[in-house]
Amino acid sequence: MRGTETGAEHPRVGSGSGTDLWAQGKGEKVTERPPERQSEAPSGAVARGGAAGGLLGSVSPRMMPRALQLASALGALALAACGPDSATAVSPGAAGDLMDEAEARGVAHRNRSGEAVKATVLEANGPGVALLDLGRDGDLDLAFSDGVEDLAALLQGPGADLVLYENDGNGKFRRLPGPGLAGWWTGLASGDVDGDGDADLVAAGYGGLRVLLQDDAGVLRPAQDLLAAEPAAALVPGTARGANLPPLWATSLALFDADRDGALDLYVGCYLDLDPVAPPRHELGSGALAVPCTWRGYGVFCGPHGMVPQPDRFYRGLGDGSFRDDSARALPEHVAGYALAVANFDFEGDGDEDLYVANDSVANLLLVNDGRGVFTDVAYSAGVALSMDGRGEAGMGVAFGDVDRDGDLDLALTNFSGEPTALYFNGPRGFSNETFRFGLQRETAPLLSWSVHLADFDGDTRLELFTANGHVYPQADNPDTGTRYLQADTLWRLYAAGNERKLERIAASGPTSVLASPTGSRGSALGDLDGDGAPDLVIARIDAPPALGMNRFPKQNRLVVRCVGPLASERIESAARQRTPTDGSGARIELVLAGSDARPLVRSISTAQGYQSSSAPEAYFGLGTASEYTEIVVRWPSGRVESLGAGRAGRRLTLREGMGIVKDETLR
Amino acid sequence: MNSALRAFAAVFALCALMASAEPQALDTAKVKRRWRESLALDLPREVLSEGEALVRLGEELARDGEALALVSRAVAATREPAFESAWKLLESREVEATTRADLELERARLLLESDQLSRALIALLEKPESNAPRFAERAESWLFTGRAWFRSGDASRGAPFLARFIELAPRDREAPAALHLLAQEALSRGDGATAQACVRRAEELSRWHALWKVRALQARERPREALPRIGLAQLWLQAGDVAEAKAQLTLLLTLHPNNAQGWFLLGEAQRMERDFEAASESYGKALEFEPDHVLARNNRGTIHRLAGRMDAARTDFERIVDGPRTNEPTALPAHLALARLLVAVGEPQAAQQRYARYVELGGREPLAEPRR
Repeated sequence: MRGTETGAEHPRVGSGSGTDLWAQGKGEKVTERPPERQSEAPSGAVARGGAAGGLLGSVSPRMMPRALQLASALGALALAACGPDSATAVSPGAAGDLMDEAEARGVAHRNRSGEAVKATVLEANGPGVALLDLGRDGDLDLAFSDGVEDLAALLQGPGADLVLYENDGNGKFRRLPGPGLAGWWTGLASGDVDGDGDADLVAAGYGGLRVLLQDDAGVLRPAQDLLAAEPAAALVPGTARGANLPPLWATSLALFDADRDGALDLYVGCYLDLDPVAPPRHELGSGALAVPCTWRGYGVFCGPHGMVPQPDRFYRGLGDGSFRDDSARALPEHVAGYALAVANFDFEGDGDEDLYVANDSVANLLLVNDGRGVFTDVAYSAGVALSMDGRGEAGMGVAFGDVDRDGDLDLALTNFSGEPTALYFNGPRGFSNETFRFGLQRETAPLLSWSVHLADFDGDTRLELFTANGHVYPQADNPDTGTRYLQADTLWRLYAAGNERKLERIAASGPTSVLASPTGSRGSALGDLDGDGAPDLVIARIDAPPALGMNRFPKQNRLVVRCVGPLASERIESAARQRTPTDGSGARIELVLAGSDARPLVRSISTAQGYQSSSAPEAYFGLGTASEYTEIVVRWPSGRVESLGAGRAGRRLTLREGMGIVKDETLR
Repeated sequence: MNSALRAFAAVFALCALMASAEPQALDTAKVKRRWRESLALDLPREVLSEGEALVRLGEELARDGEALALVSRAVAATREPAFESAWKLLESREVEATTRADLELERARLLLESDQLSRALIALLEKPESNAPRFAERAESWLFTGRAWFRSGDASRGAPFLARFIELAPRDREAPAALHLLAQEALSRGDGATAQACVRRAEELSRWHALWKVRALQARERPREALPRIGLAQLWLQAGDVAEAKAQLTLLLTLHPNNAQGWFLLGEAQRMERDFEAASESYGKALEFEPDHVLARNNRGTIHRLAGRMDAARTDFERIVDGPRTNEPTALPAHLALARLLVAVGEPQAAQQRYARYVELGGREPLAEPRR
């Protein structure tokens, strides 16, 4: 870090005497990053009355006459466009919400993510979770990632395995033996990578990236080691390792079909270089130019600022369960960030899957697919690279869904404390940032949020916003930090009609609600664990047991749709040479309800949402009071569009491309 | 910490500060400057530790709108609930008229940060359709108004405010963010050239601020070390802020009077102020401690040359080009300067030889002096 030497450059100085012979010490070369996470001042909520009362409620007396004068003018001019200006409503606890039933349902292991003091950034990022059907019995089983005591223990071995649970079909779980991995595991992605009709898994880690294929007995077997050819990138516990050899640190994964060949491809979000042998502690650099790692004046672990970001990777799926690194072709202009989350969705509606990558502390990426699996970042011009104030924020988690029911997919992005959870509406000219109009700044700025979902938990047809919360720094509990280490998870109803935006926080309905108690949540995955058609939430928590947030909102009419493409062994050559993956990944489902509102409810089959986690490859629809729908339209990745006629709610439908409904089950 | 403990700590901090300040009066400008820096370095607790007590109890700062605003900002960053805690501090405050704008602007900022966009605009604008904010002379006024419009989804309305903010405060810490918003607004109009220029400038400024933050933290961590202060001085020189650079260098040279690089940079600062003789002296001090400091010698030679002291200039340039660092890129200007000097004193053959060497080392400037 020697930025003070004079060197080779000798720029002219305009303020000199006019001669071109001045020599000057060169400007500092930017070889460093700022020392620690910066966060803006968080803001809090203010309870006020309605629009008119709230407008003037706490304007100072000195301002009053002018404020009165301006208020009426601005009322017409700006209020409609300017967002809430009224307190966020808090709905009283209903009969139930997402009630944690983990222990009663047999899920009780405790995550290990280093030491409680969090000496390194690796220990703070915590676990993820995947929902996948093991054994083809139609229910969702669980896989959790896990870490070990600290870096020394990881080097020494044996490292951690994945933690697996089998669902008995009623949402009760039994612990299964792990697949036999050894490492510090982070992100998980499920999908049918070998096209045999069952779900497989890819596990990301600090020094690990492993494919696990499900066999006919429903057992996950370790298969391709994607780092096998890169000894430096892989960290094998129990094997001697020299200093200054940071392994690949993969965080979130997306299994999706980038080139529409029917085989799932893999995007690997990567974080930063962390030397496991001699990780930085307390400061970065050394000697006179060492920079202390601090936050709010307290000493904390180092990173991500000041540490070297790792470039993300792209692996082309070969359809047989194996992959080859195709990063150079797929990501030709990729700039390394500190990727923490990734989601695949068709942002432009052109039929292929694009990607959104949430980067920690630098600009996020919106990678547009050219249809052949080559990606270009358009986040800046689309308005989703930086915050509404033009800053790079600490993106932690990402979700998509059609919040405004205009047929395209909108984005939710979680951030660090001091930065709001952002909500972007997709539109014809990119995204509009709706964060402040919803009032999300004051609601979410004190929170550090990770996983996020846009889903219809209460079944009223509208999407809710869920965020899994918890700070990275235990020092957040020290005086005067403006936040806390453990934070309760949060759920909001979102109302968007015309220019109106409204947010309603759903209060915990009881002490066992996942919204009730402060915890350290990280990854989370969405899926119906007990067969009632309502999406439940599995939340992986750091240094703690996970939560099973069972959906206990008042019963509504619901519909669940699974999409199935052809098996790899039945490869169909369509005219466009495009195929649907066996697990239906990328299929878009539009559900038209009976009644006056003809706007369809839109879902897209994707497992990659949230943070380091993998949700069920199913579409969950809440139909509210409607007991029937009038049409289901499925746009398959192959290009085929199928329309299915009217039907009743209360069912789980399995649709097979070209064959309509192949399985029709009644929801419990 | 509970409120009683917090109050005790604040009073203790105040007493300590007052005791240390005796018998002189509190230098409020210095205090506020320190607080501004603390906030810029994300160290709001440093402001709290003395600020809360001072604005509550201190005579002078309690009526100083800027001091109140700074403490309010620290409170908003550290207390829960942020808005109420900070707003309370600003309520019912009577401040000196000259600092009222600071107080009003901080209120507007708090409204903005709590999503009360309409109320923020009411607090900021003179008239609803106005293109000028109430405190038009204050850069933040333009920033907050522009930001409020952008957050409301009206970028075209916010852009002129941010553009004016950049005019008023081109190097402000918030300037990179404002430039990014301007770039996005330009892109939405299809003006790619403006967008690119904004992004370039934003990135340049971001790098500068990031480096400044690193150097400032290093200097705080090790206040007696020379390197962080040299880095800070270089950054300020690069930004054209000679006064800030000189402040760092004065401190540095008090601690390390033999630091050649410090003297050289002081010379640079003086040269930028067009105080050439002082600069020459500073370069001389640098050479006293590091005789092979090429840049100091080159620039002193240039000053001699401009002042008509040809022999002295020639001595400096010859020392460089005949010295051990002759082939280094930093020595290149001296080769050309010597060649031109030789032309000026009527030694064309020697000049050509020196010029040939300059070209051989990669120089591209003509031998002839440029017309001024």
